[in-house]
Amino acid sequence: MSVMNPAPTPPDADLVARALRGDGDAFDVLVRRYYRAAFAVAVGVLVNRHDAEDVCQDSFVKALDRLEDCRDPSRFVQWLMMIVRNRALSHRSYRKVRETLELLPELAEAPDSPFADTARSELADTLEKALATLNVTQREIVLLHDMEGWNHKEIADKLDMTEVRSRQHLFVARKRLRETLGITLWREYSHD
Amino acid sequence: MTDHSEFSGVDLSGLDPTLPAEAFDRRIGGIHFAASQILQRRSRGRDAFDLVTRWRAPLMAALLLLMLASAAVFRSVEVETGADYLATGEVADVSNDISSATALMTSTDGSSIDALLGGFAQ
Repeated sequence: MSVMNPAPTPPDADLVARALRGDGDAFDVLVRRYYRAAFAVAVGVLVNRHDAEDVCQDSFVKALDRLEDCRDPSRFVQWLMMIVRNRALSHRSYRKVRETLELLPELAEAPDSPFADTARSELADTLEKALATLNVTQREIVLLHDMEGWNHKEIADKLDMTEVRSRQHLFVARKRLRETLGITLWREYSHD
Repeated sequence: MTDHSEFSGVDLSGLDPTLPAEAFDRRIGGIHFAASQILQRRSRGRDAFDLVTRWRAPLMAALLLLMLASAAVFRSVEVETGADYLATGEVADVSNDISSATALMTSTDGSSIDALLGGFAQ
């Protein structure tokens, strides 16, 4: 049985109203509150944490610019997720073109990236490869559930699906991740 | 929450973008910097320029429609009257009348009321 997490304080609607008046602190709270969720959706589409971070930054700025379009501020997160998903899809299309033209530079860790640390970066690479074996919905759900801590009721509400569907996706995603990560780890140890 | 029917959760903290906290704070700072102009604009309140900017697309569309409608009306009038000869003739008549009335009103002979009442009769 899923239990909804307590409503965040201050409520999103209040923060949105304040951000509409140019309150930077309110905007900061919204960004910190939903950064991981936005990242989960972006990684779900892009399967690349660096691109996902760029898309997150871009999406939050875009959301602030278009905040009047958020007709129901209490459902800010649903509206934000839509923006993130659309921008991630656009980014993916752009990336495909860029890769075709072979203009993609060597992926280097940006100095301000949370993944700049080598050990952490390797672990993130391994997880990223494992996530690549899932489909977009499975990636979103496993990240929102296991990284962000959303329950099935919240995922169902915010991704517009049933709780049963969310559970099914999570079950399959975890099974596949365990299989993939197990193989990866076995290969690493087999070299010793 | 416990889901006995599912595999236990996978540790995805290696992908958590909010860790380490210092790097995340820098990232948030970057977002805030990128959004600073929008926040400034919002704290300033909406001015006429913002409204025009926001509504420029519908305004341009309305203007285009108005131009097309005007062109259509003008063309139909032109077809009905034959040519623009009459239109220019009428404009010339009105222009002459205005010139006469102005001359009378500025002249020292008679009052302005006389000019208004009798000006066009002359």
